[in-house]
Amino acid sequence: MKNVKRIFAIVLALSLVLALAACGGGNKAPKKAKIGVGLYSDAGPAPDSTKAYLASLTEKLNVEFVYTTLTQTDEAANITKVQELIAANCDGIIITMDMGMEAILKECEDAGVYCAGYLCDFDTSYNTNYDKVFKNPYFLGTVADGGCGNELKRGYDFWDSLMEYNAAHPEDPVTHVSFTTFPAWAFPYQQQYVQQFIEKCDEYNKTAETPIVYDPFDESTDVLMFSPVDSTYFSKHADIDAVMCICAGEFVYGTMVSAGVDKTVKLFAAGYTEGDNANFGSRGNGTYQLELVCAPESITYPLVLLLNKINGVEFKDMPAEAERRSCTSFIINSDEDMELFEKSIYLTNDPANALLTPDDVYNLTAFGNEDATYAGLVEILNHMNIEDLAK
Amino acid sequence: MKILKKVFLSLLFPVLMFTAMLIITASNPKCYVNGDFIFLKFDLIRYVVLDACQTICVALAIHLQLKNGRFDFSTGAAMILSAIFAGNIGNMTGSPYIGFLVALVSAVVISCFTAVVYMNGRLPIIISTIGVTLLYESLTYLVFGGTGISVFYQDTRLSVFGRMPGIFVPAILAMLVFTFYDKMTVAGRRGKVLANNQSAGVNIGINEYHNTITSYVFSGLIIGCTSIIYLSQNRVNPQSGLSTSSVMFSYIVSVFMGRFIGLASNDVIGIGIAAVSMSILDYGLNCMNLGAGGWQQIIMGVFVMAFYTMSSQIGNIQKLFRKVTKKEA
Repeated sequence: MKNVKRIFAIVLALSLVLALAACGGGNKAPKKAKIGVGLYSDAGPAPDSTKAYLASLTEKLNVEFVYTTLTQTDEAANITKVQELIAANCDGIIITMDMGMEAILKECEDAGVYCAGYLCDFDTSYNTNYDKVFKNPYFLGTVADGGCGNELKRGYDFWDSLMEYNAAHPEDPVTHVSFTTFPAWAFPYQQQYVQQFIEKCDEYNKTAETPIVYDPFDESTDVLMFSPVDSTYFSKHADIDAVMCICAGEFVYGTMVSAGVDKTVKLFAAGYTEGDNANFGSRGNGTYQLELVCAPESITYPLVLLLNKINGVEFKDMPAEAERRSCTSFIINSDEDMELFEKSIYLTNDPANALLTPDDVYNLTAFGNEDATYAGLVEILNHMNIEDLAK
Repeated sequence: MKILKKVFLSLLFPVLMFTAMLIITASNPKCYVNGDFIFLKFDLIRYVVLDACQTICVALAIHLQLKNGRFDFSTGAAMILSAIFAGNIGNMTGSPYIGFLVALVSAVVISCFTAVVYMNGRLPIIISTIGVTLLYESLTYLVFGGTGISVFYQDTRLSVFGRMPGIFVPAILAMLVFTFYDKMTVAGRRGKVLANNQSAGVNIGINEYHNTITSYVFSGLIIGCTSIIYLSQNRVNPQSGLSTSSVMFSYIVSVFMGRFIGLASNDVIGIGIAAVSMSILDYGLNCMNLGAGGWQQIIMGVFVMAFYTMSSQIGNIQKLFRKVTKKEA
């Protein structure tokens, strides 16, 4: 009878341990998963480094990645691309465009496939279709480069970098600037960044010995329709020392070269293009003085959310509705910053240089670490600065 | 006197274009910045030279085959592919001259391949060149990691052939190659016979195979000149879905205009003058902030249409003019 009692107690204890282990969800081997990634471009440093980073995670997370390229203008094409990923048996999809989201999520819902965003603030959906997108259980959230909502501050980053440049070059400071942005219908915040810069500049000029002049933002000359600035830009903005290129610098640099001003006018730009480093800071022509780049490792946010869903686990503090989160940018505005950036996965495509190892990512998931939290996942997005590359 | 008349007729178009744009921009407040009239600045010359040199090269490459009765769709793809070869090798060696040489050699090889496919495939030129265009475009995703080349134009040591005065080297070379082929080679002269009546040409003993290959060698050389300029001014991206044909078509206006203007002199001068005139028009539109988007397309479209209509009806216009002057007398 005594032995029966003992055996009964052991069985009970084992059942309890097993039940607790099942409830906790931590340290489980992940299910085999396939994730489709729709990037905004099929080549270039950002897509290449994103692919290299994801490739390093395949073994540890038991996940396979397939890629497609989305468009910025064709909603129907994007829906077709998502349908193709679903047809390729993807368990989850990461997309970089906010176009046709209602239809895309309908496709995902019908197929039981989850969807999340990367490098996109989904502003249109957020402001005009929140209930059908952000409240949709198949949309898990997005990580945006450069901020979203109340976290917008890129205009201040440009201003701070200009101040740093002037402090480092007192003999030849930048005192006259102009702006370029993409159209507001595609990038609604870029003109807000211009206003942030102007606001800082006006404040500075109240007390400055040498004020900084800015050419008033003119929609007809300063908004680029995804093509390079025209040949008359530097005649229309005569005598400028720098262009605050809130959009990608490559749309301005080519015209600077043709106009022969690449040695005299500085370029503060958002977005890195291959080869920019050759003319950055004190190198080459010294044209580029600022680059703002989002770490490819920020894709960890949508990836972890998708893998949790695929593995049937959830963070204890998972918000009820999908969120959009900002990722801090690499603010590269000195030679030292560029040297650090050149060693990052963004330029080397070497996962050994990534900010997160496969083990780190595994530990961020609810199935890999029972103590993992949503707050912890969000927190890593705040540690993707240029300083973090030095660690 | 005859020469003076030819010079007058040849220069008439760009002078009219310049005068028209001068008047239009002078009356547009957008063309004044802090009281400065931006149309009449040195940027005009720089833009016209840089743009016209590129246009002349592409237009000559298209025109050389057109003159031989072939509309080659693959010119844009050959240019992009050879630019990727030239840019990457030029960047590796750090020499724009090696880049230029690679552009010439690769463009000739690519062009010869097009010719071989066309001749041996026994396909209509449009089918065979669309086929090779798709092939060349897919190769742009395979060679050198499929990333195209962006560092070449950013490096001032490498991009000498995209700026003044280096840009004159490929542009003048392209004009010389075209003139040499057209005026001084047997293949060039026989090409005209084949273009007018292919069967008659073959029946009188012209070796079409040899003639076609020769013409593609020369157009390859011109495409090589185009590539080095394009590469030195632009980021070269991999292409797909016949997107290279839009690169080619963006220069085709100068070919047709040049053929008409060239009636007063010769094709090369005609194309050169057409390229300069269109660059002046472009620059003027840029000054008025109409250099891109819908309005630019509409203005260019209407202008080109009007020009073609005028040029095709020139005989009737002359007749009408004579009639009116006769009545007045």
